[in-house]
Amino acid sequence: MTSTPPRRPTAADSTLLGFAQQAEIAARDLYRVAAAAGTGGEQNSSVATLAAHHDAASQAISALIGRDAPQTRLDSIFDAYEDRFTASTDDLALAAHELENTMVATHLSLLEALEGTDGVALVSSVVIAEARHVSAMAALAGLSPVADIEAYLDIPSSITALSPEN
Amino acid sequence: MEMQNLSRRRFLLAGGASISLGALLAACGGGQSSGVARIGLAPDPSELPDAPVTDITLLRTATSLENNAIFVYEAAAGAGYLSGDAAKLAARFLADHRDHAAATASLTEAAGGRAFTEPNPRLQSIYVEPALGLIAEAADPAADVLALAYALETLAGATYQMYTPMLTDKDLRRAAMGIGEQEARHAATLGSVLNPARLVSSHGSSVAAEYREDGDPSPFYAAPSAFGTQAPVPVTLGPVDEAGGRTTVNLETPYLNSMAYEYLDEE
Repeated sequence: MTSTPPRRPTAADSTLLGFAQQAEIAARDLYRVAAAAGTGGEQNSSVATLAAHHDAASQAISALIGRDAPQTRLDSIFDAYEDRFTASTDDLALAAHELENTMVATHLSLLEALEGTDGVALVSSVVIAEARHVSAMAALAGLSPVADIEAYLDIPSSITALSPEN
Repeated sequence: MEMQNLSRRRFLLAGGASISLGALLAACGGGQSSGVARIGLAPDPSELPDAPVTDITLLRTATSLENNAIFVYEAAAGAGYLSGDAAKLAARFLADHRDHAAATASLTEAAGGRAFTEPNPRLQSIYVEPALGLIAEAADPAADVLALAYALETLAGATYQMYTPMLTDKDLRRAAMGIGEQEARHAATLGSVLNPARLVSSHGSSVAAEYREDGDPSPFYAAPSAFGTQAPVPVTLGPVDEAGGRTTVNLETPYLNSMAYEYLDEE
């Protein structure tokens, strides 16, 4: 038997969504650094727009949880990827492909934990957008949508969801 | 072109306007009966069955939408519209939709319901069949099939996005969005093939002027927006008409008037 879930985020939801916001800010900053360095090459405008997408996700979480939003980035993610985001277009694309898969896995794991449906709705819409980012980065990396189709469609088994504990 | 837009909600709005006008005329008609049929004389309406939107309803509707997609890919393959890499891509997507249909059917049964095994009848009649009819008359059916596939995959992702917060069983959310994100990747993969020059749309995003696109947005992007959309998904198909335009079909997520309610099994 299931009961009707609440709409608004619970206190535990706010903690989880706050963590998600930190991951979004880290992704935003990575794309900003890449765009400023011109690492995206012919798709540098797309790379700059991905920064805006992650910024929008961060702001939407902030609007949902208000003062509970940390407004800071997850430095461990930023530090782990910064060099690859500024090396070359291929390095950027493959690093971003990995990062976006990690973001999708992270948000999918949040869906199991969140209580409030407003948070579930927001995270679901972010999952859709960031899943599409993965395929975009596969294309930027020059991977074939036929021979390398798994890179476009699947989360690799090596990807681990981020969590406040790790 | 406006007259050719096939939008369910627009149709319902237009229908609502017609009903209101009819009611107004009936109210002005007075009480005399001539025995001739006129506006205001109608049989007693039969009541709709009670149809709560349950987790089972949502899962059955998801299966029905997967079956719509299967129908489209099978029809395109049967007609031989696609060849080469496009045909290989479509074959992979078809296999994924069969897996998704099996998964949502299994979840339906695990939740105590009966799996829905057919395409969604309403979506089939208002979107799929008209679209395939237009493609059959198109100058470039392969391009139209890919455009329809892009729109259908976007719609499928949007449907799972819409349904996930409606599921009362939390354990179903990840399974639903695990499928939904795969649909989104299908659309993105097609977007990257159809518009390789610009993978991520800047339309609607807050970006510096130097990164913005000029002109109207393309119909296809790998990543069209910062969030998954719930807006109608337009797709332009078919032959050029006398006025120089083509038909635009606006696909909308299956909602209250097009869900696969359990009572449909009894009809």
